[in-house]
Amino acid sequence: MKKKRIQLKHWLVLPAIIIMLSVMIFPLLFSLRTSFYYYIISKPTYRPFIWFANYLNMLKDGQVLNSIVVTLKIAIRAVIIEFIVGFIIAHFLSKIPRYQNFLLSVLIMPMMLSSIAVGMMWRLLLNPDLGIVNYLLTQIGIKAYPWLALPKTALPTIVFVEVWRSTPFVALMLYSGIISLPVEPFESATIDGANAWQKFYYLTLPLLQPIILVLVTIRAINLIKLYDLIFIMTHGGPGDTTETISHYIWRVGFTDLDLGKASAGSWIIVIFISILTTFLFNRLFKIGSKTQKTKG
Amino acid sequence: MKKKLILIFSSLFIILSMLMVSCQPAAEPVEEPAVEEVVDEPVVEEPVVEEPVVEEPVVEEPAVPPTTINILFETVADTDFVLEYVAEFEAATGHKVNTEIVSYLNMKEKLTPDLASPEGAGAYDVIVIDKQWVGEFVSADWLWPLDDFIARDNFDYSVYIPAMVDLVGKVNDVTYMLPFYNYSSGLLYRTDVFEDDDFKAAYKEEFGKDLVVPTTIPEYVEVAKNLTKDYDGDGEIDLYGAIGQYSRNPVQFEYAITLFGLGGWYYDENWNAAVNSDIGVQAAEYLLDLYHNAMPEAATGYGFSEQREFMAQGKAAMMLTYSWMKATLDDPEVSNVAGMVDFAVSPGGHGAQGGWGWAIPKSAPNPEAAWQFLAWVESPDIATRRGLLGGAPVRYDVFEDPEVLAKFPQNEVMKLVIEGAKPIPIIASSAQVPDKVGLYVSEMLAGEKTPQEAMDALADVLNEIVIGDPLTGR
Repeated sequence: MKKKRIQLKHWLVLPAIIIMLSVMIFPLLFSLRTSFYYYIISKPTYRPFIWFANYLNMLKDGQVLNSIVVTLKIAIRAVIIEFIVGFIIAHFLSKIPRYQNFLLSVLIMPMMLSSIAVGMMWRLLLNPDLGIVNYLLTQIGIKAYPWLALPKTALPTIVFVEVWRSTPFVALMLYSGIISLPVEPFESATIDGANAWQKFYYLTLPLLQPIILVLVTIRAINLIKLYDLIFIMTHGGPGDTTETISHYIWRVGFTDLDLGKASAGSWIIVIFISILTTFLFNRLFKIGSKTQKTKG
Repeated sequence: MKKKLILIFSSLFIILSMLMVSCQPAAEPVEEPAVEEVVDEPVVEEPVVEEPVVEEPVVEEPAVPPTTINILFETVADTDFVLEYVAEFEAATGHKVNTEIVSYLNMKEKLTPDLASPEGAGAYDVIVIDKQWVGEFVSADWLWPLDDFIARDNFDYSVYIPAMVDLVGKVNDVTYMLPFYNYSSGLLYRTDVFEDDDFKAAYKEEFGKDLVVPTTIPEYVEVAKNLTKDYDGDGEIDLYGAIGQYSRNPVQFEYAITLFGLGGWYYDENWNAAVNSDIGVQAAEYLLDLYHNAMPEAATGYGFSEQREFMAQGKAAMMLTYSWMKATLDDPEVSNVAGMVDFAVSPGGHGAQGGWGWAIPKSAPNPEAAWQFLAWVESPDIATRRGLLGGAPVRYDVFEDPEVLAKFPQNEVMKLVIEGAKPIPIIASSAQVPDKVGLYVSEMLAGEKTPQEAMDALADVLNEIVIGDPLTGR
């Protein structure tokens, strides 16, 4: 029997695979190992294996519970608003006869900015003394407000900035989904006398379900990892009202220098995200197989 | 087949070259000395957690062949003052000095992995260390003690102000750093408010007391509250008595100054947390009082840049701040109060000590050349010339130099500020102290905890931090 040869194209991708594995898998395995050790950076000679103690410490920590609640508050609110606004924008774009390209170019501008730039920009815009937002408000008779300084508005302000930054992405994805929908069901529905709402609820939404699920997954993962905006805009304050789980883990790792506990926290997030994505993708595959059966 | 092999190898070569380029350290590549390093290698011992091991690098043979000295600096004015004269050092010694200058936020991330490198295998020969990293770096045994260098070269260490030595000089009587510059805190106040006769007369008429620059914390709070008011009757407050940096992290600085000004400190002499003592709680209550009655609501979102802007707009009469702040407020291009501010000792006589020190990491490839640089940069001549450019001195000889004093008369006050200021705890977990203080004081300001509750919670955490710390003996 002739020995099967490995094709050149497979050899050519091998270096890329090796590099990817080394830069992705190694840090993951290293952090997994670290999470089972007492691993304080400034105590290099004392690193005992402590089994699951870091995980238990993380779960027992009151600040972790608070940061999970804050993260979920931001994630749920931001995802809902992004989808509502994103749908409106996508629907509008799909209906207008021209200028889509121009509008899309304008729309994706926030996506091109780095998180640091977005955070710094909004921090300046919202500055109570120098910011243009408060200046405009005072011009129409509304008193300047310290948006990021007070507990009742700091978290909604973070949600607003996150929505501003990410809605274009959601709108873009939904727009691409809407324009690729088949026209026949909509024509039939029009003939059957369905109104705009019925067409949206019974046709557009179900047909976009796969895209929506992928979008929810991507946005949920991004929001659970939210760290950069918090670091730049509030540092978790006032008090701990905007401290997300990722920001808390950063503090444990780089202020407390407890890499063991920080790694355990990171792995708890990885496990949580894995469960969430498994659930969402299962749902996605079910939709996919149902569609296949219908076509069959 | 040949073609395939060429293709495979060339693609591998390209990828590996890209990888190697991207893996280059940010610093300039470290050149190896032309001749092998001086006599004995530094003794390598396993670092011990409980007691930082005091090892000494080469001390007997000062001759160092020309080499490259890599230095990591922060982007501050004092760095620029050093760089003004570096060419003179290069000409005199034949060494080349490579500098990498990064912002404060990036420094720790750059330093930590480099310091953790094996002995002699790091990128930097000289580093500058902020006060809150001292305990951590010493506990981790990452710094060369400098005592033998100092003794060998008769380096005059007595010129440094003892308070700076305690902060960024010695730890448990071992010298790990030469103090570099200070950023100790004091009281910045508006002279157009405190020295204006009409204003003073109106104040006395209303409150029955003279308007004077406060010298105690209770006076500071009282004057700040009294000055806060709507002077033109339009319903808006025209002048706030004080402005603080009350956002989550910076607020620890305000708490520290208030606590120190009342005579307290974070711990008692046995390393038991003292923030929930009467004085500790009183300091927290004063902060709350100031926030509600002498500052804008927005202060809980302020760091030092917002605080500075607020003062520059002429909206506040006083602020507790760093020593370098006055110069930025005296610039008429960016400040409405240029020439109308002055700097005084913190109320209560004790501000928060701030400073940076020079050190040689154990990972330094050229410790002997690094010491040569330190001895040069901290020589009386260069230190005085840096002082003449506006550097923030840490030495008596610079403070008392007639030329420096004539150019910067405020140094008279700065000397008192430094002498009276209290340090951060020098422990392995120093950086955790301001972080935790900031968190709990911020929770109190946000209304989540009462002053007593916040300080009790803070005391619990501060007690946990020092247990097992090699520098506290607990």
